[in-house]
Amino acid sequence: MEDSELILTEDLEKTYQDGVEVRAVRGIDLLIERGEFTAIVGPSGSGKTTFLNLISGLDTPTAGRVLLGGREIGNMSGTELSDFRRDHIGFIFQAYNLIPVLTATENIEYVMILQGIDRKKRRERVMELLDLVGLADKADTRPTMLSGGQKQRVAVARAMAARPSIILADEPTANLDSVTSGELLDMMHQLNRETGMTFIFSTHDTLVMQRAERLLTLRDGKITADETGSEKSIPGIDGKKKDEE
Amino acid sequence: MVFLKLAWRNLFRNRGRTLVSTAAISIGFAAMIFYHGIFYGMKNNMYRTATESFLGDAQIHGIGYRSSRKVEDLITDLPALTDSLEAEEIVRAYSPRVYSYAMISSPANVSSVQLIGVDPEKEKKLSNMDENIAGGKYISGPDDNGLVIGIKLAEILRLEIGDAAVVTVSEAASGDLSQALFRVSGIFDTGDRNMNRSVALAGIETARGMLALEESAHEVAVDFTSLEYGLSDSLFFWDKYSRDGNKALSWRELAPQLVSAFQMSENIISFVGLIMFVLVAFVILNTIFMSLYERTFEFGVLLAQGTRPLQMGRIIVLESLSLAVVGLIAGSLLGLLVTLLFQNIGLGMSGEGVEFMNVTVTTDIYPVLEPEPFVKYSIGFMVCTFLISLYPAFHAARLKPARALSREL
Repeated sequence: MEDSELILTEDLEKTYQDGVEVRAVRGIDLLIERGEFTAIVGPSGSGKTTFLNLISGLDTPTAGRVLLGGREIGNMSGTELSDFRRDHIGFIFQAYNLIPVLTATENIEYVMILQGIDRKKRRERVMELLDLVGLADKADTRPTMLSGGQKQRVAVARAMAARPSIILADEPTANLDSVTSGELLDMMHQLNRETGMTFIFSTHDTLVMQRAERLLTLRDGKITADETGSEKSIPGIDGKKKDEE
Repeated sequence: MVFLKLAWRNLFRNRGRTLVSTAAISIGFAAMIFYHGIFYGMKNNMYRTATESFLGDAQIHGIGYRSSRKVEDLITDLPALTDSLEAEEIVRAYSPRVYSYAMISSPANVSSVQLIGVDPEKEKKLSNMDENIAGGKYISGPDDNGLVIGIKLAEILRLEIGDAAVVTVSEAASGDLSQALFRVSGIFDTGDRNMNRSVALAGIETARGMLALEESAHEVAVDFTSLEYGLSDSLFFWDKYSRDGNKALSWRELAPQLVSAFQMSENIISFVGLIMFVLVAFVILNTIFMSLYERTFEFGVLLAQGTRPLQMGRIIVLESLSLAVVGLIAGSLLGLLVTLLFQNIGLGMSGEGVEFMNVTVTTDIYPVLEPEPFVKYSIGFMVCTFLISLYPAFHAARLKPARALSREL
């Protein structure tokens, strides 16, 4: 695996046995390089979230393997995997999912506490991130007092706190209006360019697809299209691309 | 620290549920504190009833007397002993007694009894026999010729105040029988069936005269200035008065059945406490599982961020312990208030009182307030909570992040 290669999946499979057998991911081979701004698209049930869970170590594959920065995550123990996620992966969720009993500052610094970073350095980093997402004045505000857009900005700051190499965002704009979504995506794209962090989105949002530099289309657990730059064809609201109609 | 912060703040997230759980914990804990106070109040009551009725806090006998009960096994050098007791600061009162098995006969019946010769003035300071006179009067002096008998004995012998009764004893030195005619001057009712059935009191000089004894006694009962002295094994008194042929014993050695009964009761209290702890701990378990179920996704987020399985477990344990601490503080205050309230008004013993191990408690019970149950039960409860919280903690530690994020427990 070369230095530029961040995520490599080989014949990745995930099958659920919930009464009936569901093959959520079927033999995906994929390489994602450092610094990519990639969106995974596809209709509901196509396996996007399962794929994100597998490449982040949140779930274990039924077959195949995932290499993250050269390390096979399937061989890690529970604690090793936790530490790996803590240090290398940032998550942004659809419903923001900030911890409601913690303030914006505390939500952002949580992962740094897990890393054992001292309070002074943590607070400096938190202020830096809050500045970056434009919420320096909301440092001591609890999530319930923030708007949806503000919560997602805090979530972005939280995902970046540990300086991870990858940020995985599962439908990050699903609960936001188009203006707020646009602003948030601009911000993340800027962060991607400035810091070199890899962003991988799972999305139905055309705004995300438009801004993504690479578009992976998943259908029935398989990657059916892998497009970059001007080649990209944005699916419609039914999840189908023009050439599929 | 962040885990404690999370645990503590989460308590106040669902205030209604926390309030109900806290109420259950605090009421359970307060009940334990109060129950403990009542038990020790009753124990003190029984202890006083037992020691003040006749036993005393301690007794001194000639070595061998308690096993032989022979009239000739007397205390060595009674005058020196009583002089020494007079000088003791910890001794509030003492009373020499003369004992003998006797046969008492009335025109209607005959019964074996224990004849006890007492010095009424000294005895009044030590025991409350004079207060238990149900009819007639108490012994008026050391050489009073009157006989004071128990109410049950009077019934058996069909004796009333002023009736004649013949008492037969065996003399100390010769073993010859000695008889005397007495008039029943008083009838006592101590609440102790044995005493009421088989004890007859006479003036100490009168009894000595019948037994042909010089200035001596079989027993000196002692009352200390504090209840605690009778409970202390290391008190100097026991060594000092267990010399020269005498033996000093505390009430605990004199009435071991009472001590065993107390011990048994303490074991029962501990068992009841344990059941209470487990019940209350299950309230916590239920609360934590409800919380765990509601916050599955949140736990998924924490796991995704890199919280280790053990750290997840720690959050749950801390949350359980935080809930327990809140409940304990509220329960301690409630227990304190209720105990203080009944300490002032007392719990009335209606009717003929309650008999326990041959001791009838007739006076009101005043719960005892001491730090021990607060500390003991708090530690017990926290340990119980900790142990029971390991189950949801284990559950949380085993959560799969992907399943938690899809809100599946």
